[in-house]
Amino acid sequence: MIKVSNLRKSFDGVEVLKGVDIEIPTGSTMAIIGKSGAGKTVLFKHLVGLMRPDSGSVVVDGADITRLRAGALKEVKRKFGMVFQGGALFDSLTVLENIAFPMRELTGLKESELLKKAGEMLKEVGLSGMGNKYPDEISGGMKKRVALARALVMSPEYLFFDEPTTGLDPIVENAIHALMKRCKALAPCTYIMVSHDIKEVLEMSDLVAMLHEGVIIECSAPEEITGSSNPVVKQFLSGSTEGPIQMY
Amino acid sequence: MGFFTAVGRAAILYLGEMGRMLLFLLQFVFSALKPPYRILRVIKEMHFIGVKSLFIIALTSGFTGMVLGLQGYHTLRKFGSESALGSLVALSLIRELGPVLGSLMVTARAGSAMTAELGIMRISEQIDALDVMTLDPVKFLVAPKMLAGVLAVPLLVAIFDVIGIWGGYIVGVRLLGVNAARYFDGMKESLEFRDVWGGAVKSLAFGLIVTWVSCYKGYNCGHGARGVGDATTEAVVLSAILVLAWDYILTSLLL
Amino acid sequence: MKEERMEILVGVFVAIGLAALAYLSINLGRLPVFGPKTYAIKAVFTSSSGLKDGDTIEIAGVEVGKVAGIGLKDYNSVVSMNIDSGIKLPDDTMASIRTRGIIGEKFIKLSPGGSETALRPGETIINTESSIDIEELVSKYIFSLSKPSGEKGVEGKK
Ligand SMILES: Nc1ncnc2c1ncn2[C@@H]1O[C@H](COP(=O)(O)OP(=O)(O)OP(=O)(O)O)[C@@H](O)[C@H]1O
Ligand SMILES: [Mg+2]
Repeated sequence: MIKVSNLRKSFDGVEVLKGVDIEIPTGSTMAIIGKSGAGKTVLFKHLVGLMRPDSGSVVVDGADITRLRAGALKEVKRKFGMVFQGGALFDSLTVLENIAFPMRELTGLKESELLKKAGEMLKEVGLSGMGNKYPDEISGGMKKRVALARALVMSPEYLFFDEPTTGLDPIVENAIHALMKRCKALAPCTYIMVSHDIKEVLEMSDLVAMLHEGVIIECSAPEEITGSSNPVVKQFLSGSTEGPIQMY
Repeated sequence: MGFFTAVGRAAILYLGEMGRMLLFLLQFVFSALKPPYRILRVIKEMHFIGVKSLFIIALTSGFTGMVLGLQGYHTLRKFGSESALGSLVALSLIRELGPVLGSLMVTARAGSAMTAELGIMRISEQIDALDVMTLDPVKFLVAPKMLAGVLAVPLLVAIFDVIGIWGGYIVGVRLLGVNAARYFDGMKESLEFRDVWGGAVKSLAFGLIVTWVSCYKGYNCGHGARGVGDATTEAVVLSAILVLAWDYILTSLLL
Repeated sequence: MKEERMEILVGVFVAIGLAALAYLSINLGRLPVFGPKTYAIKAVFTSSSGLKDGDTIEIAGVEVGKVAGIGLKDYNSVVSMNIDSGIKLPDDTMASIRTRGIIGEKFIKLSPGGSETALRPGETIINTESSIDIEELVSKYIFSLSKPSGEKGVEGKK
């Protein structure tokens, strides 16, 4: 379980997170929604220990990762996998090598085994035959899928997806959803995803949290959140330009 | 009032930067000492810093030696001591020009590229990705580069010295007619092992400085393409300044 | 295959670099790699005026060693010399301090004698000729002009 309490972070005097409280139960799929620039990616980076908060705590299975020393933090991080919003593929490695990379560096798998496994994973995300291309030779959606494959291949306990299907066509999107569900069925784990795709959020998650102006204003099951009385949530889910969320 | 505030702010900024650079160096040392040792990555970086710099080192050292031969000959001839050409060429190369010019060439060719590489990895979140995978980016990316720099630069400088000596030979002996035996005997007479050793110490230190500054600047690079560009410029300028400043300090310590 | 090629190239680079380093330090810098290539002997002179550390030691005009140090003992000058290991010196070798040209640098000239026993490392040469002091010589010359019975300017054997 991940428990975030009163998490605060500001950049150059601008407070982005103003006391985030959230509980992510083990085994759940939590979707975090919020308008662009709300601080979802920043929150993610705190959850995986890439950023240190100004104050507050992030407790992962009983250990507060904001206070852990390097060695202990590493132990906790082993449970994490992350799909970055921009993919963050290693651009000097081919697609196949990217997927094989974490296995090669972190497990004792034999070269032939891990290449086989990477090949299978590549097929799962619909990119078989692209293994020898470099990240800058493939499309944005393909990059996303490679990043997903790279994260899934290590079967982490907690998987963070920063917009896993943004930029994918509907067919591939559905295939990715199926893959995510299959992976979860195979090895029980916790998914935390950021998404702007309301359909995806409602289909995939069993908890939805909305981040607005630096705090979580609502966190409930998808069925409940669609009937929320909070005007901000209502407006966000309907996508209306009229309401408390101002574009300008 | 404004003046003192500005000076104070600048001083704090520079002191902070120096402190962070030192911490970065310590981080490198500790992570390099900790197993697992990634020899293959060091070899890869040796290939990048060493093998790929050979051509430019050969070219610049050849010309440096030839110019030394030419200038030295015309200066020494005024005193009737052309026979000292060999020791002039060898001493200038081994003590000063080899380490300094060699590491400046490495800065230009390899240091700037390392900064850009790390900078792009930083802004495209590849460094963060390594971090989430529990691969310490300093150990995984920086340590091999710095180790390779410390190993490769002294070897490059030794090659620089030898080619330079032969460049001086071609101009001094072949073109200008200094006696070949005098060229090499003079060299052997005036050169002491201490000179060679001092040159090696310098090039070792410069190898560390260049890769250290380049990696630090890339690793902590600012935002976007502009950030990478700025980091690269800063890395080259700071490397060059530090190399020259430490050249003076080391020379005064070694003499 | 790609990696192997890279490893080979790096190996070649390291080999060339080390060869260059070795050339600089052994051939040019005369790093004593294979044990000491010289041995030390001493010689006592009444004066070693003008002689410095590092001055050459010659036999028949060929360099065989270098002055390693000059000290004082019983108001005499004790000069330590490093002689190349290949050179064997009889124990009746004579050492004389000479000057290249009239006012050139000083060097020590060794004249081996006919003795069967060789000098061992650390031993002292007793037959010596000290520096010839030009000023002294000139003043003696002037002195001998006014007083025809001049002395010899050469030290006697001890
Ligand atoms: N490293 C940083 N330095 C300074 N400001 C930052 C940094 N990272 C994020 N911010 C700021 O924090 C705010 C939140 O950014 P974040 O990337 O978390 O948004 P987001 O919710 O992920 O948006 P999107 O849905 O568009 O990805 C933004 O205003 C951004 O300017
Ligand atoms: Mg984001």
